[in-house]
Amino acid sequence: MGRDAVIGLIIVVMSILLLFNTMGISTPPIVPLGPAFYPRILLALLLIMGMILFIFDISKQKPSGERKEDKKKALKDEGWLIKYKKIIWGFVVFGLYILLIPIIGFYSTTAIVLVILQGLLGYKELKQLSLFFVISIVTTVCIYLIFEKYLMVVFPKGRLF
Amino acid sequence: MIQQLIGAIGSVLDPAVFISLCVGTAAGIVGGAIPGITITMTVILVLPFTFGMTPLQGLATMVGVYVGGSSGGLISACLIGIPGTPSAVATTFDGFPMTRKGEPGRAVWLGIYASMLGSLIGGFFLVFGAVTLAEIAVSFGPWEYFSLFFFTLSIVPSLTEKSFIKGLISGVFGLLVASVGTDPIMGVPRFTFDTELLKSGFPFLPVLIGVYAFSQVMTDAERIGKSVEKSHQEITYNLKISHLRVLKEILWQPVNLIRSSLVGLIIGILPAVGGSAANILAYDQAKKMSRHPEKFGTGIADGIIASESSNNANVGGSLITMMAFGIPGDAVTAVMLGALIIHGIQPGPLFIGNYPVVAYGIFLAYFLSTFIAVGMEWAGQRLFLKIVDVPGHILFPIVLILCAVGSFALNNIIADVWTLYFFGILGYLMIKFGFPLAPIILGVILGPLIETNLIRAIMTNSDLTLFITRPVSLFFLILSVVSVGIAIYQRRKQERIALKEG
Repeated sequence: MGRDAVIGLIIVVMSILLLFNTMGISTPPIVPLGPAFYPRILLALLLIMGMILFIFDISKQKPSGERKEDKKKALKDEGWLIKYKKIIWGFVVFGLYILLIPIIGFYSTTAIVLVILQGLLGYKELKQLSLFFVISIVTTVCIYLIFEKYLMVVFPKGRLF
Repeated sequence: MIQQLIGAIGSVLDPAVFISLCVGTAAGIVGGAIPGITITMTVILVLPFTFGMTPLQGLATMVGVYVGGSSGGLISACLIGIPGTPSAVATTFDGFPMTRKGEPGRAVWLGIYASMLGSLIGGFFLVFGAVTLAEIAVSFGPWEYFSLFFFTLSIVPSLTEKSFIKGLISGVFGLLVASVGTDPIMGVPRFTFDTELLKSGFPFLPVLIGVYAFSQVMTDAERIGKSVEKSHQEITYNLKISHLRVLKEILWQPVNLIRSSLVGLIIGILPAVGGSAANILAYDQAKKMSRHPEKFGTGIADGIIASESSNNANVGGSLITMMAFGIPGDAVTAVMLGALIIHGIQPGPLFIGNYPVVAYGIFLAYFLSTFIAVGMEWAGQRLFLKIVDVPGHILFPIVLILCAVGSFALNNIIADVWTLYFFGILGYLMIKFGFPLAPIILGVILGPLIETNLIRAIMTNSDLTLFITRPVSLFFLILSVVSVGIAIYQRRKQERIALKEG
């Protein structure tokens, strides 16, 4: 089963689950079309298109001769975890960043995360660290001056700053 | 119309507005010149700075970014062969070879002046087109609006290069995302799963920033560390040329210039499709209609003129759609729509009539920015190479943080940053699995409008045939069917050709 077929299935399942959820939407009595009407149309459309995607992908599957080539390609693709390591870590770091902003404080977390992300994406040698720190501090200070002092957007201060 | 334009001159030349316009243009040129930073990203990064400005100031800044960015992309396209923005891809085809032949100045300035002229042509149509179309659209009832938005959503999957069905899924999913929260007519909670986070739904700007900017940066980040040819370091750049000669070169190709600008303009008017398609199509057309197609790609002026004039005229086209209908012509105008809403201005056909100072101010800002861009590029020539060399591992983290800052600054709630994050992951996965991004954004923006107009139409008159019997509504619905039909036909044709060759 190809990638598209899996996605098609996920869409179908999700649509069905959400359609069940729409039964809980309260409908005022006098109105001809309740608030559930429109989302149900959308979910029905998604359901159908998910099935089409699934069927299209399944019908593209060739007999076992081709599948060996697919397997060879799949083995090469196993390196994907390594290839995307930086990106996955980038997402993890960013998620932690958002989590910690209200707890530790926006500016401290921003400064730290900037250093981490720069290192994650481009670390080659130790002497880069000082540059990363400088850029991180400068950026954070600029954000403070422009947003908090000039635009008066107040960021969460948390325990530190 | 002309009277109002003249009236707006005073407001745009007000120092606060004019300076914002200049800063926006400069930001656009810089953002456009740096490969990996798109015009959309630049305007998203500029957005939070506009919150404290008046509506005209804010919109003028963004128009400056838009025009400047469409020009800036050509700098790196010509000098290092890497397009600064997707709208300058076709500029590399002839711009970079021309630089390698020893004429970098000619390449860059052909691009800059072609951009300027394309912008002016686009601007002409912008002013007359937007006002006229808005006047027509004001008489629309909910049936016409529904059919217009329906057509908009149906045409977008057919314009994307990727799978049509994935485009439709993307669009409908966007509509679904927009329906989370409370329904627009009754205020009944939907899909909130009893969480505070979802009760007010997803504000579309963090969704847009996540899907477009955040995911784009992560996709670009994959390429950090891969070796890029640094051959440009060996060439010393002398960008001095005779400006008059370059201008004459362009004006000596009026057919190419006007045709390419019109291609850009029309693509700009089409919703959600932007400069990235315009420049390639215009280049393709110029090559097909040229007397010497074999010379394209070797470094001739024709290619640069076609690409650069079209991507700037495209800005005018997108602005027409945004200002006349309140429909985004592309991601940048989607952000501008967001900015209008934040400033308490309702976009739509009544916008130009109700807010003439802002609307005509935008027209003027567009024209002024065109000339400001040329001036800045002339003044900043020596800095071009330095801009282009900023390393990705320093730039991208800063951009990501600014995305978070921008999302937070909207409503001062952390929930918006989480929205950014989740849609950033979603956008990234969509790119990886071949789902186009434009339809989801269109769906999120148009979702409430489609639903409101559909329900309103049916509640006004439960006769469903009105959607077909009212002529304008029927017109848009027929266009939808035709565009879907053409798209399916073209896909089948492509598949048949691919099968024959394979």
